[in-house]
Amino acid sequence: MKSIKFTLFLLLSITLSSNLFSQNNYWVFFRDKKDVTFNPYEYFDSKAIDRRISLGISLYDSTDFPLNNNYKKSISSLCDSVLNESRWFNAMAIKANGFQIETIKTLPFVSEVQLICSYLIYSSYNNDFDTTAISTDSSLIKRQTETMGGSLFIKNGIDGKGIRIAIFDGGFPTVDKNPVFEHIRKDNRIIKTWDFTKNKEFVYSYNVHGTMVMSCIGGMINGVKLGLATGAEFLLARTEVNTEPYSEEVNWLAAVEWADKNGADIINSSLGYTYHRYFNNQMDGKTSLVSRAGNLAARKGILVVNAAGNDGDNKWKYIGTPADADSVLSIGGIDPYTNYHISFSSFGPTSDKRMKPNVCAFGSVIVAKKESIGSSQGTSFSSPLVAGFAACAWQMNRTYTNMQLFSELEKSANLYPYFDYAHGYGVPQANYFTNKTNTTKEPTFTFKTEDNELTVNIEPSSLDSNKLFYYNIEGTNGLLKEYYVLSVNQKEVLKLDLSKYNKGDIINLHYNYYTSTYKIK
Amino acid sequence: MKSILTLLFAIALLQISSAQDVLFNETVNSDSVIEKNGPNLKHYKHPYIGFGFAATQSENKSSNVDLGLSSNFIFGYRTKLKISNFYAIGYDISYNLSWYRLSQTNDKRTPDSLQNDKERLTFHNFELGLYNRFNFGKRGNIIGKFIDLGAYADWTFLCSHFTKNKNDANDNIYKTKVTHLKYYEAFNYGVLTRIGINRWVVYANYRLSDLFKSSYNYAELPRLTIGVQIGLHK
Repeated sequence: MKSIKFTLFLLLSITLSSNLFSQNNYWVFFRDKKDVTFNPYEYFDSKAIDRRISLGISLYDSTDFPLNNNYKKSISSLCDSVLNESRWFNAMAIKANGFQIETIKTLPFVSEVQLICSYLIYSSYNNDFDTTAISTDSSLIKRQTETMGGSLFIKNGIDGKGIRIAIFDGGFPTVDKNPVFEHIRKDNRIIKTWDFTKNKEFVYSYNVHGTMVMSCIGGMINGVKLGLATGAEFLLARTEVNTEPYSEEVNWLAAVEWADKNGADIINSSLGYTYHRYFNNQMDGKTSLVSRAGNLAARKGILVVNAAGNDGDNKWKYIGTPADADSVLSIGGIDPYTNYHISFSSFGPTSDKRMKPNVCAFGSVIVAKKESIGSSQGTSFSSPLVAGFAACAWQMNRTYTNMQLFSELEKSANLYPYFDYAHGYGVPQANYFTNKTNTTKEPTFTFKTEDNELTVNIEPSSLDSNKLFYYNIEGTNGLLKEYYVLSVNQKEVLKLDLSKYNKGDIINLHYNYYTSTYKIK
Repeated sequence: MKSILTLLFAIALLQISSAQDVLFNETVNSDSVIEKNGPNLKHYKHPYIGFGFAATQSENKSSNVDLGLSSNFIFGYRTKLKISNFYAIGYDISYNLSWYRLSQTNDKRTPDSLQNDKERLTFHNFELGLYNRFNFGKRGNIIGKFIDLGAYADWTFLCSHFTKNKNDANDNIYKTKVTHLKYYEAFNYGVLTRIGINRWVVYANYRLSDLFKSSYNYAELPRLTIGVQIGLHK
């Protein structure tokens, strides 16, 4: 019996002591920024200052102030190593053991300590996306931008010039020599690079995902654009560690502040955090630090574009974070061959029932790889297509604030004002920005109700089997109950039994740029 | 032929006259129900496999085993009920196969003093384990890091004594397998502990009860088993 007690005691001691002595990563939040000095003209890039001035944002926002040096020194002396720091959240990310963190918690200037989950985190592109099938499908290359009306931007000489785009990803191999980015390198438009996982400047190695993403924003080969912002400037941040598709949230936070400091107008982030750290009901745009950082970036005038995620066909199903943040433009994916939701694209709404994704773009595209052009899939690529589009729209309307642009991008989409939780408002359209005189949409269908049945007929002049018919049922609380996409094979496209629905429910109908509604009485 | 054409025409007509051709649809209400089953939700169940070794020697030299060759295999089903983010309870039901390779020494007395080329005792058990789980760290819908402390009970439904000998004179190999043994206890119990991260688990079982009936005076086989388990889940 003595030996039993000893064995159990030993096992318990080992496990408990290993917990106390084992090192973990923590966020240590400070109470204040007392006695710090801040000179925005030294800290910010001139472009970041211009952005703040043009948007009426104070140059002396306390969230940009540095951390108190004495606090930093105290924490540094008490922990094993400092991983990073965040001015926006007045916090340091550190590595410490249980004893050290207990001491740190007692410091009077420490307001909170949060364990940083060390699990690697799923990024927003599909595990089984195709990296092998090399394709030279020029039709798809053209369609991935043309579905947004990209040729109108090209015709008007709009290419995102003057817009600075930060890309957060797992690496950018061959971007320094790949012919797809030659036009960018030639004009020295890669302004800055930083590897947040190794704290060094070099990012032109590691995972090819960032190269593929960048090509969807501003890549060009043989005069054919893979993305629309071929004239934009770029900030490249490597935020993801280990092999894709994993990433660390701490690096994302550090990179977003770096992007702001260096004058980014747009951030494209093709990653997301889901079940490793969160539950579906936490996708409310407030719970995760990255969604709060995404919102804060938006408050500082940056348009944050984020992939909705690739969990549409698995158990998680819904968007990840920071795509759940209300000021982050979340991008879903559509299938280029069917023009509606691509199976893996994550669904909305957010857990607090806000509409997401906001808009969508092709989720199967042609991208630049290390040494070739090839096909790939994922909302990781829908997001940069829209980021490139947004850069062009912003170049045309430089007076827009980031949130005005956000709203205009939604309004420009081909389904607007119709929406659902798979497509958002649909695919943004360049003609909304190039053709200022918006004409009233002519009705493309009519409907009638008889014997509690709604019948929709397509106008003969609008009948086009290549166009899709969309409808949804909206409850009295504004939340969609059901939504559908129908093919249009004949004039009478829909017969709907209204007895299934409640009084006050609204049926929203959309076909070929025309939306109409019917309220059930 | 005419009737076939008529039928095809009718089918085609039916297709055309079908008003609604749904390519895609989603129902939001049913999809938004908060799930209760998941790695870090109220209930979770998953199968697992494990492999371990006897980690201590027998009670005395008369029952000594070859440690590296005395092992066990587990295939089971684990359920968990989450009480809080830190604490959960649960039970395992498993099939547990343990075999002890008996050392062939002059001290050997279990189950007899005969020397063989190879000799082992094999126990086929059904096992029920009850455990308390203490989780550590912030996590989403994953198992995460944990320590389990609990107890188990085994029912041995089959025990066999196996020997293998080579006759040097004619090179014949003689294998014997004896079942319906009388000297083992059909029921035994012990305590268990596990340390795990997600699907990867290191476990230790300590048998408190005796494996052999006291009337036989056999020295007890190793009580401590240490091994690894792999949760067969996401």
